Amino acid sequence: MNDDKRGAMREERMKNKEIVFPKGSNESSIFGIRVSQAREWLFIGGTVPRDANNVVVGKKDIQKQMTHVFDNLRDILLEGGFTMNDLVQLNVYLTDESHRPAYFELSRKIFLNNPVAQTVLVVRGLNDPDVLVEVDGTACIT
Amino acid sequence: METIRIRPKHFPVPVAPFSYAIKVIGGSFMFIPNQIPVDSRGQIVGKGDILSQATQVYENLKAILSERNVTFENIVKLTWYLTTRENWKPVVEVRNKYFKDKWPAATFVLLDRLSREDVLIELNAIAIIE
Repeated sequence: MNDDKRGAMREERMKNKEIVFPKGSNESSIFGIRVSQAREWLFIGGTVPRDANNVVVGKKDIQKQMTHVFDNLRDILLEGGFTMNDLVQLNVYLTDESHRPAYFELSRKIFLNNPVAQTVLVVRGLNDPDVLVEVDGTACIT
Repeated sequence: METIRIRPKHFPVPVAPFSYAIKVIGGSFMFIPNQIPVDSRGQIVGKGDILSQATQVYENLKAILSERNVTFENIVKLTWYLTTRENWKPVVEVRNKYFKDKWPAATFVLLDRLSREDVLIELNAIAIIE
């Protein structure tokens, strides 16, 4: 594919996916994501910090678990032909309020240049008592 | 429309019946909000009985899907909300009566309370409509 064609495709994708900020607002969290004419969607189930042997990694260690969850999420996206930049919506489930700052710090790094419509919830529990964080969401390619 | 179940090669085969993710090419979607165990008159059924409540929730979901002539196979994402971990097993029993082998991507969440008193299970879904 030549550069012209690649550039045209990128432009077309940007036209079909847009971060919408209200006029006059300087608050970066106030936005929406507009998607039109998506060709492919990926619906991602609850992604947990399990390794290839189905063992929960980093028991009681939220940093390790968060890192592993996002590694798994990235692997699922790649397997489907998507990247982290294609995520449009994400639900994040934490089991302890005290883990929120750590999550937001990681989230700022991951989504710095690629805002995603996120909901972060503190819940009483997840499928496995050892799991401290779970993430599900939706990605699309326009 | 095409659906592809995604599993990275180094990921284990799921022990429970679910898919890690489902890719959809083309098609339209139906977003189904949280369903609670109410009958067609809005009365909560099976107070204190998780099997009855789970069945009612799945029947409500089935009725919604039937309106567009689709089945549980068309569900690509399912989220369950329960109030106790002990109810997970009976909920799975009921689920297995409705799903055959095409498992959706799924999330299970445990909460202190749900939207109405006496409700033990809520469930929402995304389905593809051909």
